[in-house]
Amino acid sequence: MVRLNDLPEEERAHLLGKRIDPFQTAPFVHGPPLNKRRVAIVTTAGLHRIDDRQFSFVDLTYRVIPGDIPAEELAMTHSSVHFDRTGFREDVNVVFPIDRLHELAKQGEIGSVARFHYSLMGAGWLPEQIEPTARQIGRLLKDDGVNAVVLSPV
Amino acid sequence: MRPPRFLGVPFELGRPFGAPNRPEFQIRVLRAALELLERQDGPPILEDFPEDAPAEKTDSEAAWACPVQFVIDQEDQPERLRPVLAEIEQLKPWHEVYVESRGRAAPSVSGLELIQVVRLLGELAEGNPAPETASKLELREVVRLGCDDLRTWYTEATLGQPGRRTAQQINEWFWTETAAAYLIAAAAAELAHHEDPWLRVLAARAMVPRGYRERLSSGLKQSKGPQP
Repeated sequence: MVRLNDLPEEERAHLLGKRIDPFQTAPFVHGPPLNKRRVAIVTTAGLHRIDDRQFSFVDLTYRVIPGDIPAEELAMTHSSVHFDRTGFREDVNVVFPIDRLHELAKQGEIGSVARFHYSLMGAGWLPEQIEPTARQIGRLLKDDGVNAVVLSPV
Repeated sequence: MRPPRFLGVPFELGRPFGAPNRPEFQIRVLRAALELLERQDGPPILEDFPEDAPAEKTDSEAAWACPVQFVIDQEDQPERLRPVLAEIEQLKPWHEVYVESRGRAAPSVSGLELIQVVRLLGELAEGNPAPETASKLELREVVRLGCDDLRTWYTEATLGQPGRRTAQQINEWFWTETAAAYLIAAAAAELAHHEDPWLRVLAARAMVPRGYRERLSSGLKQSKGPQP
């Protein structure tokens, strides 16, 4: 996620000054081969269906993104002004690679694409604050038979 | 953070999968991330993606052109809004080109029309702490999302113009050369003293990017900014 040296000085200082406490655990699991995995995307790009609620300035909720949604039906209401949005405007796959995932499934490189994917708004909260939401999403992913998740940070 | 598996990518913020409309590149990034699942030698498994994003092709010295010069009657508009409204009128043909070429424009996330966003920011910049809006959202959300809509519209208009510009060039142009940026900054300057703490936080953090705040603030103090 960007080289620090490629950032303007103010941005670099801001990121280096963020509180990042080490996690107490280091979860690590094994699973079936990739071509048998059911894969979902979880993004913090603040994406949602156009007719869904916008994300608020500080927001601990999630939005459901169906795996077959056309790109033009997605909106972004992330609260940060410090990242490029022209990429998303041109091609949603730059933050939410759903078309690429379907291509990998078609080629047999992954087993299947999850029916539902999830988006959060990646600004303004600390890890412990988002934990309940993360656990909810984990349960939903499990119910969808997902055994691999691509976390796309924005 | 001790993630189980992590692929470090060197792409600019907002582009974790590299570059728009580059499916072969995006799939290489995605594949590199997914292949980490096949490895058992963690935690953590930390890898760096070895490629930079494909460079955006740009036209050197491309002019920000407008096909038609409109004569705008601004007499019935508040003075503060005239530069922005004139700017929008100049860019409107390019926005139409963008919509025609893409088949769509981004939906409004604030629920306001562009002119309503401009008027809202104008009222805030004039010191009105509680302007009426046509939205059911709280003021802080309408302001934030309205600024998003305004920036998105300008971005689409520039993407409709001939020539190619990088995302950085578009961002730099918006925040250093447009009346819209000054309007946003002026609204933020007033909201910085608002009685609502959330609006103060919005003004401080989420209306103008950090790298442009000082320049815009200085410009406002000197009453500088694009003129119609």
